[in-house]
Amino acid sequence: MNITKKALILSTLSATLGLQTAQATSSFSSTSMVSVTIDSITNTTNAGDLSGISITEGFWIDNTLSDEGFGKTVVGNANSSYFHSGDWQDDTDGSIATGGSLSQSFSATGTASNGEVNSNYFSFGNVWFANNSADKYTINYSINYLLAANATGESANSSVALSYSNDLGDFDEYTEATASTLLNTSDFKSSTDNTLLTSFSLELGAFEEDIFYADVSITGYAEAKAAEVAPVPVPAAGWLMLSSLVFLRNFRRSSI
Amino acid sequence: MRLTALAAILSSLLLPQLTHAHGPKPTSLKNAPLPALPAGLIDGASPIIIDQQKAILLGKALFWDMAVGSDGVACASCHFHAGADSRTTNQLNPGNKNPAASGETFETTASGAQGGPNYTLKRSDFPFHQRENPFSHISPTTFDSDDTSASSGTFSGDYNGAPRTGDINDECTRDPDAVFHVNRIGTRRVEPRNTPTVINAVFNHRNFWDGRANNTFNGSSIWGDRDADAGIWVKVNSRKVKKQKLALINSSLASQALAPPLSDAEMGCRQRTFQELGRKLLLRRPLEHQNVHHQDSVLGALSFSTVNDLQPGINTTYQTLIKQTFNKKYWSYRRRGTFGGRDGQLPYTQMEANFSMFFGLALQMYEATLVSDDSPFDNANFDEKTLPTNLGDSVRRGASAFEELHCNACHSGPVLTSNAIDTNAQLLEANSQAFGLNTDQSGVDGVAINRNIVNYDNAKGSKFFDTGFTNTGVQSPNADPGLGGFDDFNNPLSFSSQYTEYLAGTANAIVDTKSGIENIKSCNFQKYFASNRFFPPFITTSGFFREPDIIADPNGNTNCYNDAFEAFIPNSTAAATELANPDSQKMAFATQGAFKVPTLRNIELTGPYMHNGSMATLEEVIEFYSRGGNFNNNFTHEFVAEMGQIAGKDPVLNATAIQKRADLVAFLKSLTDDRVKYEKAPFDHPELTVFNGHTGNASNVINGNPLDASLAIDNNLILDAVGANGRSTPLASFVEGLAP
Repeated sequence: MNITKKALILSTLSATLGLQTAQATSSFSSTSMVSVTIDSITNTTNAGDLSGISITEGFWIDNTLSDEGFGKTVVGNANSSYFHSGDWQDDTDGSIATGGSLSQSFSATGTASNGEVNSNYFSFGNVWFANNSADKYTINYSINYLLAANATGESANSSVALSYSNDLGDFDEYTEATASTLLNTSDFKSSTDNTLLTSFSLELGAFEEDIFYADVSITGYAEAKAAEVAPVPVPAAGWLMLSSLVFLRNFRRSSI
Repeated sequence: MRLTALAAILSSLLLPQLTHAHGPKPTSLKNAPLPALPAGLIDGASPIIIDQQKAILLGKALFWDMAVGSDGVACASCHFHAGADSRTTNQLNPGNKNPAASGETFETTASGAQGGPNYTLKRSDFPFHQRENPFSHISPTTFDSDDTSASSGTFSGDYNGAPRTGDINDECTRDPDAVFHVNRIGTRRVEPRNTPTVINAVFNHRNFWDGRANNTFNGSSIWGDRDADAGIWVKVNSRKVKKQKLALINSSLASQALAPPLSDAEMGCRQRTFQELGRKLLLRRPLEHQNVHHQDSVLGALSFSTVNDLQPGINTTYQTLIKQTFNKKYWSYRRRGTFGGRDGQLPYTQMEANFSMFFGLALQMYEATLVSDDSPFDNANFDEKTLPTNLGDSVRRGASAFEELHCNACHSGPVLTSNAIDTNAQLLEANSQAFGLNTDQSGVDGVAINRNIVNYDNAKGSKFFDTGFTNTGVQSPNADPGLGGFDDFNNPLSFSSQYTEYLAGTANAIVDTKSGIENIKSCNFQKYFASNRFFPPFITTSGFFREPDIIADPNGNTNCYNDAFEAFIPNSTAAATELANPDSQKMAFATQGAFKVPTLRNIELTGPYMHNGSMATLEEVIEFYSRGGNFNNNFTHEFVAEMGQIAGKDPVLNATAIQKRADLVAFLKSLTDDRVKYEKAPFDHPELTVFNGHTGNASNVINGNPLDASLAIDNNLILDAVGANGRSTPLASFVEGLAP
């Protein structure tokens, strides 16, 4: 297998985050968007015959870290939650043709007003490439991702990390965005974005298969000791999610 | 390089045993090599540390940060003064290494005071062992105490949790301690052994007074290969993480670093763990409540301080520093659930699970920069006798007396300790005369076990000893076992014990698997162990002689310190028989009451002295050696007793002896590096508040400590932040801080 990759900075969303601050309140928000686009599928044995290839996807939240599990601890007036949307669902039907794209947004947000919340949300994403024939195939695909973290108020920290790798072990990458209010400089209070486009060339021999993994972890910590409660604005994660969806829509359109 | 392999190479360089046995001489520390870094730490395809400068920065921050302790005690709280502790209040321990009843009780001090918790030591309280004639080994004892002068640390308590931001104190259930209290008001607990300096400690093959800080760092405990459960978590891929063994040699400082934060006498509440400490620190800004000098040699670039405005903290977080310092395979697996956790809390992350490794290695990387090699002695000119020629007559005579009295047999080489095994061996490998022309270089040749005469008075012959550890008879060997103690798994701490058990055929006798014990060549011992000569070369009660008890040493007979006749070992039956016989000296080892030979560098600043802190001045130390030690026992090195024989002849009225003692002190003071004395880089540091006893005295303290109302209010000693250029006033000696 010959894997090549290149990185391209697409954009950042820091200008659109609209940082929210509120006295006696801490909040965090992190969001991720991961998209996989099938740029081309080539049968190098029998040109034009793509019947031997199937590409399916899967996405799920780590149940052991759900709201009902030990993914969150809350003390006092505080809470956190996660949300996700997009194309990646636990779906094993059919193939994705050239030009097809799968994208998924996964975000979390939390606030504390006279309380403390610790949380960690984790999602798994798979794209399964299977060659069900004796032919050889070359599949070019791209991964695009966006990570953004934001922390505001008295005491908050958030981190969103993407680990992506393939089952055949050709690559294993990690990237993250982190924000913290725990430093008294503005640099760390603002969010950090990380947007990249990376392309891969996957060669599958007869009856060979590979899985692309894209796992996202979001940790969030918020603490506010003061009793007074200020109204919490629309969570920044919401802005992030919306902006990422806008971004994603543009991306998909340009990919097809 | 394995020690025994190194020994094999070096042994070809050794001089014949007939050479006059003056032993390795002190030398300049300039350009002396540090112990070789373990493979894979900073090199190789996937090194553990990816940025050494960041590792040093992280280590310095952790060393000085009061948030590392459960109640404000930093590593530096006991290592703030020339790397040691000069405090004089609330520094007494009842001697709780002593299993006798007196180990539980405080004694009246030499000045007649009640001593105990929150007592302020006076000049007249020292030394803790006194004779009618302090120079005579036969003079009656007029005072003796098994109490020790050490370092006060934490109140401790039962650990419940720790905040991740803000308050630096852990949440613990705190009550007055059963021993450390004044009128049932809790005082800070005190260590049982004196705090040694951290400066030059990187050269020690094993650290702690009893050597329990293993030379091999396993990443999660102090015990090296002895700890079967030790390991670190390594990310295999985004879906898989696995626990792996770590075995980094020459990393005793990393092993050492893992003990104090969890010790209920030093820094931590009971049941505290490194995972919890990681969770407490990772989001925090280092030193967030302590000023950092803008010219700090390591931290200054990240400080918020300016010329006239010192500010606390540095502009990063601990988790950021860890990510910048360490390979991501040790922290980037983000899924939880594999690493355990506490009820009601989020499970640990990989970064928290590996925090012990980050902590230990960062501390080691920082402490490895604390090398004092710029003393007058280091910069002196030396003559053909390896004596300094431009430091004045007294220093020169003192250096000569130091060798004449065989001080250098243990205080060897550039670090002035034979515990600097790897460095001494490297120097000898590069130059067979590195420690003086025509001198016996044995003992610095990389051999971690040796054999020499002990118990001079009773002339019972040779015993095994661990290189760098000696019983000098400061206390009864029963008062504190030292190297003769055991680890948490009931294995002996000493190499000598492992070696003798190995020879006796005991299964799994060698628990320090990287030590090379099984490769020791018997023909390299300074004193014979087993001989095949026709006439025995030694008192036969001291070793094995002729067949059928002996077999050829499988490690060979070439390139040896002794002749090939001595390249033998007992067969396992003979070894086991003698080892089981308490009256036999053939397999005996002198590890009971033996302690790490400390460096003598900056010794004028690092009092009190000895493992029990029982001596306040260098003059008292020399008095001690002049009388041949306090407790001449079955494990005391021959040279200590011999010094008593030499110097004990009416030395008080002997002008030559008086001058010689003064010369020795002058020599020792030539080992002080002014950068240490004035806290210049690399010995500069952030601000630190050191708890310095409690308001009141040994009879009365005031309750109402903010930690818990039942605890005494602390007195604070505030050390200002100092930059790379140091201070204008020098550090004082310990005795200068003592009340009359």
